[in-house]
Amino acid sequence: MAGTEPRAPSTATVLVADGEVLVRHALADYLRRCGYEVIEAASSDEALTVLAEPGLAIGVMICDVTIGGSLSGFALAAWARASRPGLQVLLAGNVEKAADAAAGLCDEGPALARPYDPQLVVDRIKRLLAARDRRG
Amino acid sequence: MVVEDEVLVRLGTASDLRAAGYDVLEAADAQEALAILDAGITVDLVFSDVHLPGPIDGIALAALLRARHPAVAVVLTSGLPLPPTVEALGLRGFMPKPYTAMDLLRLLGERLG
Repeated sequence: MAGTEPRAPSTATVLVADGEVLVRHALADYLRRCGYEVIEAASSDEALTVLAEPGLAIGVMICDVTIGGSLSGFALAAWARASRPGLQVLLAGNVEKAADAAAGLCDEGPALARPYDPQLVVDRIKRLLAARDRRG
Repeated sequence: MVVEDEVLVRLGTASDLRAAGYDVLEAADAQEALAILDAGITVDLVFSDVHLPGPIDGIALAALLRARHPAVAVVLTSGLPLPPTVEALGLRGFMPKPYTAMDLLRLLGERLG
């Protein structure tokens, strides 16, 4: 697949917060090949540390609802929405009730299914960033 | 593969290595590192902190890798000196903390040949 991935339309940093290392690595690797800067977080605590770092401008956070750490994936997404209004949040999970809760938290659409469809993730990131840019 | 539980340290190290042209995998602890290797993903060198959360620290990880993945070179890093017992682990190097990106790139360049 190397070399065939769609390039990111603009520089954007994506935070992939997922506690399953093989899932996280596969998605992060794909997004990097698409041209995105990707930061990996293995727990909600790591994601909070990254989001609190002023030098890291995160455009999109993809967050697994079942991620481990002090906060659940839902709580992390809720915190991010309240504290980082410019940050686009994509929840990911495969739990039925997660989709319902995610609809109220996501900037756009229902939760992403896991395991990830990388192309679908890229499409969602592009749409989120485009919508953000339109809002100015 | 960079094994480091401090996310900002891991991010900085991984970014420096990617900027130098390496393909870098990231693991937050020894369990993640083993999951990557046991999945059959090719890794030439593991650069691991000695102090890791969970039941397996960096020294124990090096011992496990020597037994399960002997082709993988291991370089450890720590703010403290390594105990003499690590001589049996066949480490490819040790990087004392704190280190600069230049220090790390020089060491890995030598060890990866």
